[in-house]
Amino acid sequence: MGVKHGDKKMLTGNYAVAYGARLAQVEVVPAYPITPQTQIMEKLVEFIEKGELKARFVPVESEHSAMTVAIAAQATGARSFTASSSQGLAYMHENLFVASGLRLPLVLAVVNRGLAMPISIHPDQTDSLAERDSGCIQFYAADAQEALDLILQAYRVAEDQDVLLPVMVCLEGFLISHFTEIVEVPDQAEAKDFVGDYTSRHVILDPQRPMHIGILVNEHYYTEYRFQQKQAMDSAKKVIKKVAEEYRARFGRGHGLVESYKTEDAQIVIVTMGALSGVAKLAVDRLREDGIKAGLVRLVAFRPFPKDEIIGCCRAADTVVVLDRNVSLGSSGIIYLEVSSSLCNLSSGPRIYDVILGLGGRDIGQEDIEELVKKLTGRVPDVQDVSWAKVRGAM
Amino acid sequence: MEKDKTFIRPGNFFCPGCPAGIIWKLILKVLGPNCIASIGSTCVGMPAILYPSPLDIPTLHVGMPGPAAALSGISAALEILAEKGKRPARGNINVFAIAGDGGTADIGMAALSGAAERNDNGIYFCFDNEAYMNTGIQRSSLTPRKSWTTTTPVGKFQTKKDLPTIMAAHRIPYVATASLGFPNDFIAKIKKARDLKKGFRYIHILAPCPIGWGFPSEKTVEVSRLAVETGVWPLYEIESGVMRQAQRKTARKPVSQYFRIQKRFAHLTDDEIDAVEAVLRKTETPE
Amino acid sequence: MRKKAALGPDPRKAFTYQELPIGSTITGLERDLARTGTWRFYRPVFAPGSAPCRQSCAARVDIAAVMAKLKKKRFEEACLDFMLENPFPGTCARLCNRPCENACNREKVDGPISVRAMEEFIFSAGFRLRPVVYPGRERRKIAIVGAGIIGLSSAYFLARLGYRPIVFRGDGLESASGRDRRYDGVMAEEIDAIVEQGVVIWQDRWTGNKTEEFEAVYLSVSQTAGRDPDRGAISREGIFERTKGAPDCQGVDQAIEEGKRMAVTIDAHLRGKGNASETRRSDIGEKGGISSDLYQADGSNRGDFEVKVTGGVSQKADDEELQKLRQRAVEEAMRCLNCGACTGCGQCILYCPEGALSRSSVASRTIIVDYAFCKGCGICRNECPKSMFVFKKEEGEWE
Repeated sequence: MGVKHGDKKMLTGNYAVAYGARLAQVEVVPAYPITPQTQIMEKLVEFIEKGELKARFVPVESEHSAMTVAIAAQATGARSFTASSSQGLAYMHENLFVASGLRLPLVLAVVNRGLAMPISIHPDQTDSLAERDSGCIQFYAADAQEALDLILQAYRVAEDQDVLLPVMVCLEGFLISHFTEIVEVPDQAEAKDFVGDYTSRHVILDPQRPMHIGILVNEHYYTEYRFQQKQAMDSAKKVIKKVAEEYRARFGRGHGLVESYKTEDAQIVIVTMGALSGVAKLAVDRLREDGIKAGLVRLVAFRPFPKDEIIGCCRAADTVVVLDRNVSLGSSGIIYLEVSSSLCNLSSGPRIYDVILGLGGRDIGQEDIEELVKKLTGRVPDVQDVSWAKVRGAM
Repeated sequence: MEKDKTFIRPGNFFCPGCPAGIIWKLILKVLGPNCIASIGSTCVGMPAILYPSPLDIPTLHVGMPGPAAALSGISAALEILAEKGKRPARGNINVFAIAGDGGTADIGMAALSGAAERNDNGIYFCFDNEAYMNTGIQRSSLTPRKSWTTTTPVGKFQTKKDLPTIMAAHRIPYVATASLGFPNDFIAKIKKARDLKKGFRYIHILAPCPIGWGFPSEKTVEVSRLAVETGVWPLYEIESGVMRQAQRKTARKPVSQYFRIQKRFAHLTDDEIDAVEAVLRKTETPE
Repeated sequence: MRKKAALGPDPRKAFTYQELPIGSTITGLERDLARTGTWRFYRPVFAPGSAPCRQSCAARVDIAAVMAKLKKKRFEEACLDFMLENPFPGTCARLCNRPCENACNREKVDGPISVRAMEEFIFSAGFRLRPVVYPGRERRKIAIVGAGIIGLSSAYFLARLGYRPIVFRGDGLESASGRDRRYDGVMAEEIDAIVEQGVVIWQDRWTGNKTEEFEAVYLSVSQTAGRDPDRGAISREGIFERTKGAPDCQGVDQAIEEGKRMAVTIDAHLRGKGNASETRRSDIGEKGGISSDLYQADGSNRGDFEVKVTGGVSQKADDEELQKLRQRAVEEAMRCLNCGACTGCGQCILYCPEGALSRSSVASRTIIVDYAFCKGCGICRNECPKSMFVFKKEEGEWE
């Protein structure tokens, strides 16, 4: 079967996500607006009103309720979709754990934005990374096309019987969400065939099969239920790869857990996630022209963390530079913590550096990346493991 | 016997004398086995949350601030699935939510107000025991004035939030108050709510808690009856904006009977009770 | 309170993670119900004949049944029902404190029923019971020391159970007939009726040296008559006396019950049956009180012939006075609510928070309590309009 190409449209990241949800034929869409996610909601309402998508839109009064409605609708057997950002995502924090604990395969689009205070409506990834413990699978898109692709793959991954976990598809606000690109929108029939239908075999609210969902177990069974989720996350690694391969075979695109770029002979590996990767790839090319053997690993899935792939790409390198568009205050960047723990037990692993940059949407260019890579690998004595880039007053 | 049939089996973890056992029986008697419940994290939700459970209906528990929003989600999903022909509708599934006064009026207020404003389909039962009983008798916004709780040991200063009229202000099709002392009235109200089929219907039940209110466990039903007979808890319904109040057939009992039977009002002086009596006397219709 | 089984999942039988259903639900797991009966301190007993008047009367007269018969003007049956439990209607009408009227449910409506009127009528009508006949069976002799109300009452019940009680005067105690000279005639007439049952009353005082003649001896006096060291110690089986340290009877009804209880005890002992189970089965009321009707209910203790009531009019009351007494008694009986008889209203079943009550499939006016789940909250007792539930303290170990 050859690759099926769809129509090409000029879409922003938000609209691409909306098209992705429409192709997946979601059934219940509760949402509350927040910059920069608002257009996802608006576009979906447009689809519903025009009859292009048969769904119910529930204009909830807060993000917390949005997640509750999504959970309840999914438990009743309908495919649910919602979207949020920084403050809204933080507001629905408790329900992310609930959705994961109830093993409901709903999809949440997160348009990354800096968390208050102070307020920034421009992106960084701390908001979704702060939810990394919730038991949701997390994907990070690098552009609008990938955002659409990941939504479709997300439903396949989530609804797989070995997985059954909620999925977050994250894209940076404004950089992806408001940036118009050429996006290939797959054919609806093909997409529907790829995603399939949602039939729940585990939790369902049906008077013919009464069950009580959401119970108190205390220490008797808590660990066992969590262990089940761990098994699910482990299976998710295989399932994500398998689904990505199938998507690539069918539609021509798909990366799996990570995307690696020129890492085979790289001595310096840059680890990124999200929109920064595009600029970082240009930096890698420029560094190679300057004689530095650089390579790039882009994390597509952050949860489950692709430990084996990171080890595979980085073990042969001398240096790993993690570009963190987030910070866990009191420690370091979050991706750095994950990468370090993956590589720490190698008998002779690379030296790992962390650079925290781009917080609150601060612009990072290709030159910036080149400069800091050169600085970090220049064997300057007072280089710190964890450093912050482009801070006025501490350059 | 047919009239004794219920869909809740014996064996629950309620305190002895808890009205929740009676209320579940009555609700399920009317809404029957073909229903889905959204449960709040409160005393009344325990049968759906603890194992082993005596309920034979499907329930969903999404945490404390959830019940009204979960109600919206369930009914939205049922509608869309029926529209798409995916889920054969086996009769009319009654969707209802049941939560305590904390989960309704305090932490769940936003969700409740949102669900009412959207007029989502479902019946919402507020199980009003006038405090946060499940965590150990703390005050809530539905605790009456001068009542003892662990967080208001000298008596609450603020008055009880008038939740039924707040819900009526949302212009939902049906609002009602009910009491266990008059079970036939309660059953009739649930039937009316069920038969309306569409829209957000709200029923507010007074549920005396023997432990929190301080009376012997055998008097639960008696206190519910006294609350109505003394005029403290009027029974009314507001249907599409028109209020209908239950009229008394016998003389109103003095309100001291209601206050003196409960330890949580033990510190009230006779003067304070007389003041309440004076207010209530004005509500009596002239002969 | 001791529990042998834990409520909730038993850790020894806990499920592995592979066995648990996924999704924070317990669907498919074994649904052993939580048996909350172990929470109970008091247990409700569905007791027909448990009207509050009957429960408060120490002699356990089935007042509601008597009233029911009076309503229908079946006067002989009313008398029979009364005399089954109490041989002293006239004395009680005059001397009793009337705890029955204090407990009457009708008091909440328009005043209690006048049980006194009923008692006065039954005495004045002069009905007598024909004694029980046991053809071919020898009546064993029982000695009763003390001719007070306790002694005479125990004699009456022992005679009804088929013995020949011989009543002796106690040591230094006045006999009941002499206790209150105002009611000389009333008491005398009632004692005559007791004698007709086959009781022998000797005016001698009891001396301890005749004990071998009797199957059992009951010392109904509070002093230790018969224990005089000069007369020799009595140490043989079959001596029954009032429990040491038991408080004196506070009223006529308690005295009658004391005698009845001892009669039942002696009878159970002489037939070789264990005391406790026999008495407990005929114990009704929250504080316990023997009903001879219940004791003889299974027929094993009844005589061979039914007791018939022979009518007669006492010399004390003339026709007109008797008419008035009869009319008064019937009027009061009409007001009686006949508590202690279930009407099948279903309030208890509706209001039980555990759902532990259900109607018996055989007898529709009998309620069955599922003690595996009943928590003893008391709502059934409070809500029953007929006072059908009696609460007894839990004792012993639970399952």
